[in-house]
Amino acid sequence: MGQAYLTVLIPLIGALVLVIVKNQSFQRAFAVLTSLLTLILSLFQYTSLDRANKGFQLLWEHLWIPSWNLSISFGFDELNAPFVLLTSFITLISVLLSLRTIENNIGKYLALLLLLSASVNAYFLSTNFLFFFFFYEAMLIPSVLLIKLWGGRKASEAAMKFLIYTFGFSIFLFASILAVYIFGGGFSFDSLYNLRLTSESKMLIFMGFVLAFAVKIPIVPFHGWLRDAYYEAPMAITIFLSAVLGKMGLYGLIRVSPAFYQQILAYGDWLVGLCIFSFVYAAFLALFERDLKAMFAYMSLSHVGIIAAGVFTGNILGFQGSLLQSINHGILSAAFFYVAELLYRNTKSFDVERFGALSKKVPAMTFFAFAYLMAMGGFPGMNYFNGELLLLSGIFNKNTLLGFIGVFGVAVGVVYLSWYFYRIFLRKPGKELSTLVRDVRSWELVIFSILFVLSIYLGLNPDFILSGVRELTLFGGRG
Amino acid sequence: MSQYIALVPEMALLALGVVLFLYGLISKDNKKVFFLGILSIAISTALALMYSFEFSNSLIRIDIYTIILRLLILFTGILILMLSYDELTRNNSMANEYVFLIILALFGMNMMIAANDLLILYLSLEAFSLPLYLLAGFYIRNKQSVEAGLKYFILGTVASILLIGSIVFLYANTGSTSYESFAALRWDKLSSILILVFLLFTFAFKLSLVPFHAWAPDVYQGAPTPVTAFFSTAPKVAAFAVLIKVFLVSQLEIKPQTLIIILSALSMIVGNLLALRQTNLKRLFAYSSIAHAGYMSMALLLVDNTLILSLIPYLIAYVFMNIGAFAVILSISGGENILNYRGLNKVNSLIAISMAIILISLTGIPPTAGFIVKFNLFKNVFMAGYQGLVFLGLLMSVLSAYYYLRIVFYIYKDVPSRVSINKNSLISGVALASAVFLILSGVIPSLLMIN
Repeated sequence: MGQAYLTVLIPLIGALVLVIVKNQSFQRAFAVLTSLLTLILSLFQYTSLDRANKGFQLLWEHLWIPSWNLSISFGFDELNAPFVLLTSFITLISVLLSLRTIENNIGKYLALLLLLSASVNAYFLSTNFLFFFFFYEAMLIPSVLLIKLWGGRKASEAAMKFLIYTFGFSIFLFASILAVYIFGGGFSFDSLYNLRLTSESKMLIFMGFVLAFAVKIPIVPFHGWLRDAYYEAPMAITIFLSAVLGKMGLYGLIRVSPAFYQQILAYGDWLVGLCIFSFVYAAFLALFERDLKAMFAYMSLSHVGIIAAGVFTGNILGFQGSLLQSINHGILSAAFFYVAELLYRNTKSFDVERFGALSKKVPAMTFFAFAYLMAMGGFPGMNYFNGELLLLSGIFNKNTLLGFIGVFGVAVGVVYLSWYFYRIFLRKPGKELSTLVRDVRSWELVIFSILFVLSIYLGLNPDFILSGVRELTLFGGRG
Repeated sequence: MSQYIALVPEMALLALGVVLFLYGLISKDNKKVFFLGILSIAISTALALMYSFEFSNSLIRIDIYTIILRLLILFTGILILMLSYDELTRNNSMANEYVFLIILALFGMNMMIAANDLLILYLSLEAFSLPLYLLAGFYIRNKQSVEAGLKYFILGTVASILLIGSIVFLYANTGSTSYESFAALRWDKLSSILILVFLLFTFAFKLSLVPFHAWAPDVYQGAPTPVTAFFSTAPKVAAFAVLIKVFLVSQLEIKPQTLIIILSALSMIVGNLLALRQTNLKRLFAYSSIAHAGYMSMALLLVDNTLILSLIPYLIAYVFMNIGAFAVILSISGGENILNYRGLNKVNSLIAISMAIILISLTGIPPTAGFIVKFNLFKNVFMAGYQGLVFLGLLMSVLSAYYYLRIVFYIYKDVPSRVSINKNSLISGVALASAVFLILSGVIPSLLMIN
């Protein structure tokens, strides 16, 4: 069903149409239609993939620079397909939410959002490093503009910080890719997997990749841009940033790490240790945060830390765990930020202390918030449980001490989640803002239900994501 | 085949220029003179297309890349005249002289890149430098402009003297001034090394490489804006063309690598650092072009074909980026001041998006031509074994994101704007065309990547 390039082309065309046609109600409808179409298409593509096949499928190629013998090519394989599906899904949610929240210049906003979605999809689908890098950078322009133009008071600063961090550290990615090109003889992923070098030079290349992705994910201490960018961006973009853009770094790690198996075996403990530190440190940041949006931003930072740790464990459990949890985290962080948006919508405040006793007033929202909280806390049968189990087993296999610290971090996570729920929904007496909060209604109820159903479905059937990754195929299966 | 046939485009340009100048003296119709000036350059361009064959003798040598760069310089000339049209015909009676000087400069540059002999090189260098000195000081009532012209003249003379020194040493060593005699040099003598060093310094001055850059900011700021656009493009193309020829055709056994590395690294560092705090756009572009000259001179470290393959696409993209940027500066009243860009998007979104694309391309972010050419250049230099220099270049490109994208942020700032746009479709057309070209060649790089 359809070649891989369609997933990039449809949002791109949608963005173009939105720039040309000025009618607002048409723009709104068209943006929803485009993102819905992309989602349906990528769902079809996802289900039509042959999971036993290890190469790229639905491959589309076009000769781009003849003198370098370089093709632009998009294709699905077992690693990038879940991420593309996630991107299309989150794009639809962001677009729908934006229809409610964005007031000025919505046409341009939606065009930029679709452009962002197209370039992120292209990033995931690229089958060679040049385009991988090309779209890694190209996605900066729409995202920075979205944060800056529709963001909060300090949005300019936040956007600039985001830009400088990502663009700045991307030079390490550039250097690594060049090294792969020179020593591996090409830009394709295979030339990385087939790289024959001394372990010191491979270590340098690996560090280049890790540094660039560590900023994108981000991992403490490379997270300087995160709070401002997440906090100042409009909520729909925050959802997109946390659910999809952070996954760009994780996908990059998942993609390159099989090539650096020896390095991971040798230095994996340190890298896992850094990620676990990031996990626990950010959990404490979230614990002491009283601003809902900032707290969820730190929660997101915390969880991507342990997901990244899974990649560095170098065993199949951790690897599967990262892949699965990337998707789960995308879905649930969207859900959490969406709840925060509903609390903010009429009150214009994220201050936890000014809410209270919402459970009687907004039963549906309470139900969903609690369901998401259960899922995020790792309740068996819901999606986070599987991922967390895999990740922690992977980390325990690698290093028992770090495993224990990881479990401790999970516990801190449950603590701040419960406190947030207690303070906002249960604690009495009701604070002044609680009277203003409206319950989930109409199509937003549908979105909430879908997110809920998804978290149960993926909890019961993690194979939907993982069926392609049965064993760790080192060096792309060619080692 | 005679060398006169090979030089028909240049000859025609000079002849048409002189005839046009005489005609302009009589008719005094500025608009017509401008139109005929553009036409003369266009005729020369057409001739250059028709007579595009390789040729070489002891004085003249025309290679395939000479042909490309010759066309590029002529095309730049056409664009510059289009940019100047409004300003010069409106409030200046010396439009005739202006057109003549531009044509003379183009003639000099094209002669220079065709030269195969240091004497021809020197003569044509002077032939284009003298018009440029005059152009820099063209607004004689404006003190800044006159100061710019004078400064450029004095420092330019120093560069010419260095070139003479180089010629003298070459002649003393080999008894000839042809490029081919480089091959006969013995490199264990100090005077042989000095030939190359002086030659490099002469063109480092023309390229405004640090530490020969001191003239650039003041001259860029003081000169009339279209002339600044001219300064930042055509002479650099010509200077790089000469360096390509010296390094490639004369098949030097040694190259002043250390010197090139120092010049290039200093230019990247100083250019980018000093650009950070500029609020005058013409000054900012002076520093930015110093930085870009620094990136480009990295390519001089390469040997054989890769030198041409990395430099020429960069030069083409660079010309379009700079001309486009200056077109935007011209199309906004008070376009020199960065504060006047606040909220530009609300006044004219077409110019705003053009400027944004041009600036993004200057930074080197995909999907623009700036990314492709920079990637190509850095890749080749990296592969030649200068990893440290490439890394410095990358680091400095990141720095440059700040001052380029700051302007983009100003453009899209959500404030009421009092900017007024000069209603001149020619200038905004040039800006838009450059932006379209940059995006197109970013998506379809075969437009730039010559084989």
